Amino acid sequence: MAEPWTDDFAALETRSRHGLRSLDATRASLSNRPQETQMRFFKSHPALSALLAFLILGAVSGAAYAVVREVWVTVDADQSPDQIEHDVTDQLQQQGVAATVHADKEDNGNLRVLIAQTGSGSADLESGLHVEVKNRPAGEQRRRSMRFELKCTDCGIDPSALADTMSGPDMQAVLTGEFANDDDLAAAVKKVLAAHGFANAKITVTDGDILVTVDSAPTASPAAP
Amino acid sequence: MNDLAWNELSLLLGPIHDDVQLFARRIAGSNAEGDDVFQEAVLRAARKLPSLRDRGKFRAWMSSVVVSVHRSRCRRAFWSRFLSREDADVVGDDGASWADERASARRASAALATLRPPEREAIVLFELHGYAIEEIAEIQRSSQSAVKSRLVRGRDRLRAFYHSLEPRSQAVPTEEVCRG
Repeated sequence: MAEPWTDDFAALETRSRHGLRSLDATRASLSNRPQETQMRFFKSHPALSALLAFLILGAVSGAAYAVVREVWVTVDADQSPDQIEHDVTDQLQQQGVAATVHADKEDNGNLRVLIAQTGSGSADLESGLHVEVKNRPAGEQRRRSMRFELKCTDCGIDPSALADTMSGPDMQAVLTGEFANDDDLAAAVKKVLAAHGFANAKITVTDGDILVTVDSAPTASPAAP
Repeated sequence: MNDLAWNELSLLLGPIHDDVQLFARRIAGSNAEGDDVFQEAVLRAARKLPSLRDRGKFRAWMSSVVVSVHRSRCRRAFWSRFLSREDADVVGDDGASWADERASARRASAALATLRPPEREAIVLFELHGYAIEEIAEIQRSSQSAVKSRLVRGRDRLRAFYHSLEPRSQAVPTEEVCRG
């Protein structure tokens, strides 16, 4: 018996051939391709390094962050990204914390781990998360966290648009970027938010940890892409 | 990429150019995204070509580079997808909306998008490109048993996807059908 996707796969096989580029066209398109500029932090640190990023998003009141728990997690940097994600997720679950774990390794072995929580459970990881990274020198480990609070629920802000901004490539570049001090980091976060129409967001940065608070309606329209 | 690097790469890439480009398009979810994956893979391949000792294995090696780029992009995309949001209804409200070839291909892409990247790559290589399991294992740099598991899990997810399309058109018969 044919599988239900048989006809659809045949259609995909045909459609994917439409407008196929030639070898020469590939060459031409490559010559016009802009250079990649993201992930400058890792590129400037050729030695094996690890960045731990914590992004906690929640459309909740600030009171939800009052709860603090102590949670310990060990990351084995020699594991594959899939193994790290699985292992860290297990460790968090065993301690009653539900979070999404994302690990990424570049070709040169640099490691980035993101632990993300959304919703009312965000309190669990606010400041009590302790992460030990095995097989990476302590001097090559960095940690940065970003929390986000949307305090007004009926002020005309589209939560998904704000979440897109908070989790988009511009903010990702900030979260993994290098800044001389907290003020510069706060200014970079504010600039990204303002460019997407959230100029009224309040930014607080303490020792590299970022708190973004939005408690009123946007004051500017989103910038053109 | 300088001319020397391109000339060396193009000699190897020429015979398999279309096949690898098609692979990138089919795992990426759209032709445009696939072309971007392919371009990035070609650039990366040009940089790393000196490290390939056995040029006879270029086809599998090049496909591995595409897999690597694809995985990297999926991981980058993580940042914009871990929030639970309602996706656009690319599937349509019922199966009948997928009547023509274009819609059928889009449904295939939507079905493949429900798979994890390694499963998607394995399914595309096996089902659409006719690769053997040992060849896929070489491309994915994993064991044959891992590839078999990915194929099984991938097919299960595909069945679940297509099963999810069925109830809307079958579970609740219309009044007219009941009368008929």
